[in-house]
Amino acid sequence: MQGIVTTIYGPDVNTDDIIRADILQETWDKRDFAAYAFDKYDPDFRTRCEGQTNVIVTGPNFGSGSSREQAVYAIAYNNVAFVVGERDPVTGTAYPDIFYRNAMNNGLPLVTLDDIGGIEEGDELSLDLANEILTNVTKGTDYRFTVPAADKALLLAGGIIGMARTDIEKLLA
Amino acid sequence: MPQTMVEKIISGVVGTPCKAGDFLEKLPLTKVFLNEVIAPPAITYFQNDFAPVFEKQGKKVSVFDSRRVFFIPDHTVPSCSLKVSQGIDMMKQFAADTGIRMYKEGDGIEHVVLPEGGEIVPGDIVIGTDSHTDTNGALNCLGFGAGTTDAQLAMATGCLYNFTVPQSILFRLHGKLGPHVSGKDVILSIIAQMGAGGCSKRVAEFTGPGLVSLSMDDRFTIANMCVEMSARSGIFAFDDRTKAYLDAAQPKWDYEPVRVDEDAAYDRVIDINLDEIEPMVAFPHLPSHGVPVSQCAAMIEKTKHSDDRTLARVEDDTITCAFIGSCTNGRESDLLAGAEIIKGRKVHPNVNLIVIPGSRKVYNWAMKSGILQIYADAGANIESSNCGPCFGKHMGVLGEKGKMMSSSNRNYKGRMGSKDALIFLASPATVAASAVAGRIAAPGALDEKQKGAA
Repeated sequence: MQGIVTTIYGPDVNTDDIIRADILQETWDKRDFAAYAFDKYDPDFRTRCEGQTNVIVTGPNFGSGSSREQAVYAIAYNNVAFVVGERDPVTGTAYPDIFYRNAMNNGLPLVTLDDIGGIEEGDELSLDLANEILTNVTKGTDYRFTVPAADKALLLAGGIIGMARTDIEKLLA
Repeated sequence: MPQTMVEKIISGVVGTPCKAGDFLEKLPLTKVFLNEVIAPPAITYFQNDFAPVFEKQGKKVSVFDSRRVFFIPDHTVPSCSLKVSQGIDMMKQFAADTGIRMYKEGDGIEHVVLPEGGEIVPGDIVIGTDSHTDTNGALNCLGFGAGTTDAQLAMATGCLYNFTVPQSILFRLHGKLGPHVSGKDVILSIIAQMGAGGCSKRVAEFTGPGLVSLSMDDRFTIANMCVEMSARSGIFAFDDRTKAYLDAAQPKWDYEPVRVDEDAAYDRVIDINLDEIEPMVAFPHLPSHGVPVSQCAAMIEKTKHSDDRTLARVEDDTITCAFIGSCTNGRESDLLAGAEIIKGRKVHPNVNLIVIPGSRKVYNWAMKSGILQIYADAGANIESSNCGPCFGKHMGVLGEKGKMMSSSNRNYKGRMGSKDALIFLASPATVAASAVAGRIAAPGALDEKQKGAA
């Protein structure tokens, strides 16, 4: 999958920044949250995303805070193919657990790099999930990254619902 | 082999010894709860994705264990919109169909109601559709927040899929808290030290000789805010206070205390001296921007010369709103600490003080003991139990000029309304003192003023 870097954020972007609380209960259709993405934090985000496939590049601790999964829908339904985050050198991660799980469950890939410094807005990035290679097509650079095997399987399968269906059948049998 | 408390809890539920880094295809859960923000979509997706599976087997739609699933409407109750009401009605119907317990509007905030009702016990593995589910860890169990999909699956199967046993950081507490200093000041101080993402992928475990001086309410507050340093959860060691709390709550489940092995393979061990902690205030827009109230003036100056996007420019220390309540600080000792400060005083004319007991039980206690009368006499607005201004939707929503001093857990940009509003976080005592002073003030400041006048 491939996309244009629409946005580069600093550290500690939280899920309140991504999707405001007051509309969470007003719809149960995942697609509806796209219209409110980054409303209070970066209201131009949605305009920049129009008409193309997008990538968000971000500093560490992206998606911190509230467990609201609507943050993932808001991102994904703005045609964001994947997110590239910078690893916090102390904790070794770019994404807190709850957001990470929510993204995996919805098939939104989260890539972690040691350094995002070479990436600029407008760059075209290409993600080869199976081989764990991120290519900056514009700059002609390759990055290696790792994804836990279970998460990779989930992302390549496109979600977790099938797994649960099988388990329910077992429980009922 | 020595184990962290997380490793012990997971080993206990799984039935085989586990260590940090182990991958579990399925983590069994002992309690699952959903609020009215996430239950309606979770039920909708549950019906869409799973109802055909039940039908195929000729079975009625059910949850994995109706005694272990709870619905708690707390964020926006009494309902503030048609859609919220429709969501709550959907929860009532699903609860009736599946036999799970549906709490009533006003019964209280999920993280207050379940512990006080004896539903949460040591050794539990709890998920809730709210990031502050870590609060439950004060009761020597593992609790963490989950999104809609994890909750939808957990209701059906009682499992969390693809789980890696997390590492832990051990916080060893020493000494004891000074006057007007509480668990809120402890956790704001720890978060300031660790940073907003400093505990990511790890569980914060609390033990040490200083533990004995912390009330259960202090521990709930500390566990509650572990997620503000991005911790997976927070867990407190078991002691006599835990036992006394559980005895009073009349636990509905059997339990075994989970003990601490200090020689377990902790990622780090951090010593905290409670004697040194002062009343704290966290500046907008992150809970990690905490400073002692005594250093407030210097922090205000710092904000004026900062290019940090997460640190808002603050012109002065005046406030327009104050809030005592929330899953962080809406329990008995929280309301009491605020009432002790505010008794015989008046809320400043420029300040709207909102007081919200964390549960119906806390509300009724505060009513009978005269605590609510103290707040009412001071000129506070008292609301029925719910999440209040902290959710930023149905009450106490801040306008552009709002400057809120809050006992809740998040001061993110736009959290309580306008993106231009400023939110400061502090203990109930500091919030009460500030509500009286009309500006950020430590609880001790009022004592000194009174002494000076006498």
